Amino acid sequence: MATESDESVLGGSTSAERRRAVLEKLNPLEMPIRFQLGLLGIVGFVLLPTQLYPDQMGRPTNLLFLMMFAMSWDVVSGYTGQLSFGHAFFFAVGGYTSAILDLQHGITPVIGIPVGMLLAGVGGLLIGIPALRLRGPYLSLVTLIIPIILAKLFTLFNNSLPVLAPEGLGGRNGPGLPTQLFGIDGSGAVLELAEGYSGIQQTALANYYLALGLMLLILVVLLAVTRSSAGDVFTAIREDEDAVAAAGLDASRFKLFAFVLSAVVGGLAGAVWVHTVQTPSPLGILGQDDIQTSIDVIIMSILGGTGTIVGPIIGAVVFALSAVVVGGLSDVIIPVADVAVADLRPLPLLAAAMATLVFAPGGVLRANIRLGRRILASARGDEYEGEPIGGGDSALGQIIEKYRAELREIIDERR
Amino acid sequence: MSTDNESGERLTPGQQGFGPSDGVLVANDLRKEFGGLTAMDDLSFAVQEQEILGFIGPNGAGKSTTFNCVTGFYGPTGGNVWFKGEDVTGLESHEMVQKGMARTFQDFAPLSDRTVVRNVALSLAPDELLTLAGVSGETERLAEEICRRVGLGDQLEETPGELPHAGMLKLEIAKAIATNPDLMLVDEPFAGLSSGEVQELTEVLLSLRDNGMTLIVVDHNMRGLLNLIDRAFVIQFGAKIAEGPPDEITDDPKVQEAYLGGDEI
Repeated sequence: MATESDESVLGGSTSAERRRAVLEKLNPLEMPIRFQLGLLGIVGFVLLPTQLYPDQMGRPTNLLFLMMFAMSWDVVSGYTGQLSFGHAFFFAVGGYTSAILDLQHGITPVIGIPVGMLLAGVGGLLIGIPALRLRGPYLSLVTLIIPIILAKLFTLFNNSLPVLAPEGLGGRNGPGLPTQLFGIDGSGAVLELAEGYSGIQQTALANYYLALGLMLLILVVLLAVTRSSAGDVFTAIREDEDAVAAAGLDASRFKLFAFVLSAVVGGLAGAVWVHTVQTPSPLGILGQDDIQTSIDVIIMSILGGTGTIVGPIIGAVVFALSAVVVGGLSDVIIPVADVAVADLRPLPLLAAAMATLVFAPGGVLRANIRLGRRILASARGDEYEGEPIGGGDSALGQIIEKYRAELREIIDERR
Repeated sequence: MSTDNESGERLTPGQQGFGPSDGVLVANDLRKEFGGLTAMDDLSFAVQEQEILGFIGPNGAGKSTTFNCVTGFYGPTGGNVWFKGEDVTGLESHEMVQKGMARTFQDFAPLSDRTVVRNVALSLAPDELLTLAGVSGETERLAEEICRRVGLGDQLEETPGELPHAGMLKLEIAKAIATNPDLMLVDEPFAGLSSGEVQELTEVLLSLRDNGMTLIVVDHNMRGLLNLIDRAFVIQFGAKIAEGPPDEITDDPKVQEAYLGGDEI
């Protein structure tokens, strides 16, 4: 194979060289500004609880989970261009599995969470394998329907699902509140903290920092995968699968891997979610009309920048901030229409997503990196010549182009 | 090289056809039908190690179909393909590449979202899911070296869209070379090139052969191929009509008939 000869050409010291290269990239002082800003952002997340009361911690904690979900969507849809419109399916599989294991089989979340994660991975295989044969528009339809089917199953097996969930899946209300990972003394949580108010305080903090740690772990794993040569293969699949085959690479394997990786990450986040700040129920996990969460993670990724992993985090922050800002405008009444701005939610956010699609299809992240480079260049007295490759905004464009091409193929076949 | 058959008939399929050991790449009674249309009609040929075979035929003769069947982009309807003595009939295209058979695309398939050098680097990427390859830049250095070999040393950081036609051809070849093939199928390498560029590319291909590579070069005419190929194999309507040294083949009456009133051979 090609790789062996590469190493012999270069003297065989590649593993040491790789390790050194990885370490060099991790030195904060040597990093490009955008990475330093990223680190600063992480520090901000670490310090955020110092500025909030315990009862205000719920939303930031939830936000961290949404970031994980959006990253999980990005690795399969943003990178390989296999558009999934029902990603909350994986979050629900992870969450429900762990919750039901806990509530109906008495299995501790410490075991239930990894099991939920594995089962979500199996779900990734179940969708990923047919996805290899389904072209864009068909795959989108399938993924759109799957969480809705799942929600119907929750209702169908409302009272009992033999063996798997003897007490049923709980219909619209969910199976109940599972054991929490953290709680005040005597609450029956996995880890019982102090009594009374300080216990509540500690629980809120513990949930937040667990979510933050998990988010950072997922971020690191997904960055490592997408920044290695596997990431190059993912984006090449988005662009042209024949070229991938001609390079001697098995596109199907990489596509399936992306799906399973995404499902496992989503399942893990979903499982931890129900044991910390979310109730396992169709509304809680799948969202309004069983589809809202799936749509939200797509909007976050598009806002921040598809095909970047970091973009969805920024997109999620924008998403949450806009909700706070718009929600705060309850006194501002729009004339003529006579409605408060706050009541328009989520219209302003959707409008922002549309504007992003039109004016900065690369997302907020890429637009700002380019802006930053332009400022740096002019500070040096240079002319900024734009992105060296393809404008950098092409990820979403490529996904849409892939989708279009597949649609054209289908239409041509019908003729 | 097969030693059991020294006569001039060696390259003509006998009654029993070709066997796995008749060459580095052997196609025997290869057949491809699309609906009722036979694009390739029991075609047989063998390529010897370090040979440069010209695969020639008028437009629509079935060259691309043959190409696609041999390299696994289409599954053949019937027949066999042996590569290095191994039956590879119907393998997937990426498996063919992994076995050492690379191809270029006539209509180019560069990834327009990345630079020339990163296009080539993709061919160097291991077929592994969890890897640190590409992090330290050694892949990139090797890719740069390959680009320089084919004459793209000055365009490493350009996108394929910025390359002139000849540059795209070179990129196609660089991508194929990067998979470290034993056999390379080159589709219409000289289409639209100036004579200077043809000369430059001929030298690149000849040096690849000198380094042990076997080449099949497809073209619809032989102009430009004369200095490159050892043997021409001419097909029409999916079947062989002639084969032999390039300077003799142009005098073959069947070949002249095939090209009559059409393209120039």
